[in-house]
Amino acid sequence: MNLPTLFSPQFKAYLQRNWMLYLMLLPTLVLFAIFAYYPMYGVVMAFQKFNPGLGFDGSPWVGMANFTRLLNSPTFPRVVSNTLIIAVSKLVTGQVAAIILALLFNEIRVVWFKRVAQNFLYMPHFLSWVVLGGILMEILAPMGLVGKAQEALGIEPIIFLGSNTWFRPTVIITSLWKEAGWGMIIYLAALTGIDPELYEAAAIDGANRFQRIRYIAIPGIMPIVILMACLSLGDILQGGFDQIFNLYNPTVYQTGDIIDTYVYRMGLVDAQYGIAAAAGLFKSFIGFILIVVSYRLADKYAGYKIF
Amino acid sequence: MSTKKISRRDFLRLAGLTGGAAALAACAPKMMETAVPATEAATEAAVATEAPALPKKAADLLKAAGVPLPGSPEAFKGWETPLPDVPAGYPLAEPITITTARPTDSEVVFLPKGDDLDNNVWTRSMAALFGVNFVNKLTWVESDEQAQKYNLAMAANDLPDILQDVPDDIFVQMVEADMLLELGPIWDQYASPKWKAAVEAAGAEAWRYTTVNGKRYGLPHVHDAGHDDAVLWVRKDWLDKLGLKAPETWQDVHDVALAFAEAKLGGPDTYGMLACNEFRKTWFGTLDPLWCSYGISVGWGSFGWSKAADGSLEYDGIKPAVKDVLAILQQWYADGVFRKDFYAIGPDQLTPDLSSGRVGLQFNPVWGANRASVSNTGADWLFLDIPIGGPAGRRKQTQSPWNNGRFCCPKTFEHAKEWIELTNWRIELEETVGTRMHGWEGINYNLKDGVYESTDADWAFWTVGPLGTRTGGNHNPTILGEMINHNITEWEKIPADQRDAFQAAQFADPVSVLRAKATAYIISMSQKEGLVDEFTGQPTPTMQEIWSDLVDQETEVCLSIIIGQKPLEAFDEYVANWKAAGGEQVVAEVNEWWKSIQ
Repeated sequence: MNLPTLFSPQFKAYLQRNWMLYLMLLPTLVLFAIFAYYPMYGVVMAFQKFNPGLGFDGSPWVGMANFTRLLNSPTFPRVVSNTLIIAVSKLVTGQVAAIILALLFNEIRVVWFKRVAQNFLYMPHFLSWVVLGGILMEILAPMGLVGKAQEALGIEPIIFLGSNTWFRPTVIITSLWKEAGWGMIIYLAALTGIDPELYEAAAIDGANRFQRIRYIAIPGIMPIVILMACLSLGDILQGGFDQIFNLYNPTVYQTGDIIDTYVYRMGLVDAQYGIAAAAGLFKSFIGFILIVVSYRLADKYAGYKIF
Repeated sequence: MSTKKISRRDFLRLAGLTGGAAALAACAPKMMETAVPATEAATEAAVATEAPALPKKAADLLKAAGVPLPGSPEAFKGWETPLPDVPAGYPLAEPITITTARPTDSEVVFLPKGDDLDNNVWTRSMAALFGVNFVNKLTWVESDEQAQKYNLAMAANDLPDILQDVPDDIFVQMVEADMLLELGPIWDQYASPKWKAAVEAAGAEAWRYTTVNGKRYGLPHVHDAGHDDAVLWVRKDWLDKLGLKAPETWQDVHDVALAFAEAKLGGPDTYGMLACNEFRKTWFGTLDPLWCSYGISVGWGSFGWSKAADGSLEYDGIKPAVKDVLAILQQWYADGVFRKDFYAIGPDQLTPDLSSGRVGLQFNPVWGANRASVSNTGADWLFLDIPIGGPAGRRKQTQSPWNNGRFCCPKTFEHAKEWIELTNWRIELEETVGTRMHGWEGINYNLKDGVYESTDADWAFWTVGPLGTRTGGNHNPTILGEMINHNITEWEKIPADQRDAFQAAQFADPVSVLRAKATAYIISMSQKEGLVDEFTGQPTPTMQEIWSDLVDQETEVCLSIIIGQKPLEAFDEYVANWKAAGGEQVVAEVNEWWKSIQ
């Protein structure tokens, strides 16, 4: 787009046409300024031995000491790998499940059933992990619903939230249950965008349902799938603080402790601001690189471009 | 590094002989005259600098302000609460406001309806007597919340005037940022002899927690000796039902716990013994007697420090004996002594297990005599000494009577003198053998035809602050024990029909009597059996940096071993890591401190 030069008559006309769009953008910009850009100043903590009483100006500078300590800490590599494993598993399973659900839903012809089922699938998305965490703890407790069922079947009850084998699957599956319905929306929208004539033509040519899905629906949403996959790279270090924090306990730190929960314990509980800020900055830095990469990939494979 | 504080409501509500703070039980009603006018020293100081003024009668001031008086001297079988005189110069001609920070919880209830932390019979009394208005600027329920709120207030440079129980790390940062008032000299000048005596009774160590470079930046919080110490509680009715003997050894504890669980005496979810994720020392369902019986001292949230043979301090969390205890706990867990998910449950979540009668054994202080379990399930609790069989004999963790937090003020606080003088008066009101303070009729209790009945709004100094936490605090460490012994022996001698309503209520309630006896017993045994965490200094530089990380790992490895997630050998690996990751540096620094105080 060629923007007219400032103060030219064309610019005036442009503004007259589009001022409303800019106005609508304003609240977002304000929110970003207050909650995203202004606090960025706080990253100086990562290079300080921060003391809230002394503030950003008064706290002593320690250079890269916080990062050195972080990288030498036996805990840090573990939380990074846990974060990666949990986040990637969630992304992959989440996307696959959302695509499958969308394809299935697209085939439902009874409208009322489709609507009801869709609502049931969305609903868990709106539950907060604080609430859900409490419910899951009860259900998954050895003396809870699941434990009792296992006992009744004569199986030794599995302690899902106290076992390093079971903690990650539990986290991934519960997250899947909560978010898959929500993730499906975008694919469902993409599917409705496919020209119905294609289906009709295929049907006339004798393609059965599975063939129509295989040769029309899937290729039809492929650009969106690729786009979503590329964009989700930026989330690769998002293990999901709310969820883990509400479900974990010290016995599963080995497989369940992620960067965010570690930062929380260091920063807010133990008042180790420097270290916590360093860990947070590390995560942001990697996240930034990934976003750049994902943007390039999205451009290359899906033709998606902002700038 | 052990200042996890949880307000012990249950302790306070026992409304009885056990003293606590709920019921500042004292001696027979006729000894009231012993109440001493408050703050002689303070009064003298005031007289020297100001125009002579006479102390005022507190009752007159309260009546004039329309604030009710504590006690029920007029009622049938009532008693009197003698109020100390208000020192000269009070109430202040120009009322002042002092802001505070302190713990609270959902069970802190004020009556009549509409009253709250900032406006209740106590705050109104203080306004009438001293012209001081107390306003809570920040409150917390959990210790995490406490640290966060202190941090935020510090970052905003907006600290309340009185900072109760400032956590170690934050205290060090506040001193570093030069935010705190040097309270020591002010206290020396204005504190009453009685208050000073209470602090002195705790020894010079009382100030260790508040002193940095020789300056006293806070007031110590002195409390009762043995006040969090545990005994073994067992359901006697269950023992009788199964024809078992009371457990004496650790092996007996294991066997009895399993017998209870197998017999399912408390329903299908019965288990043997109380335990929670705070598996070292905690205030509810603690396991510290087991650790201590193996010679390992424990603190709140980490292990403790003890004297080695060569006189230096060593960290008990890396001793080989830890492995022995872990092996026992692992076995016990596998056998089914504990709740299967105990490691995911905090001490505050355990009360339902007691009140629903699911469990038959517990290590707890007096609140092991759980009132709800008695009324719901007819539990007959029996308290017993620490089991034998550990290589170190009968031992348990005990707290020094002074190491329970500190009170600090920001530099900007201008009314330290007034605050201290008011507290002199408050200390005078509390806890003398000879003073009775059971709260206000119609607020904390009702008296009908000579029958005492407590309300939801228990009377406790810690609920009203500002220089009193759970047991009121800042009284002589041994006074509670003396009072209880006095009450058990003296009140029992009063013929039943001559007891006043409060005394009668105590003897009418078997739980109160049981708790009184348990308290007296615990205090008498604590001196002998107590293991103390010897490290009472500020966190050292390396500690500030890595300690929380190390403790995290310690918790993880221990809990994982207990529940069988990791083999016992994982502990050796952990110890090696601990030393390499800076643990040895911490040991060296702690020993530097240790040498400096010898």
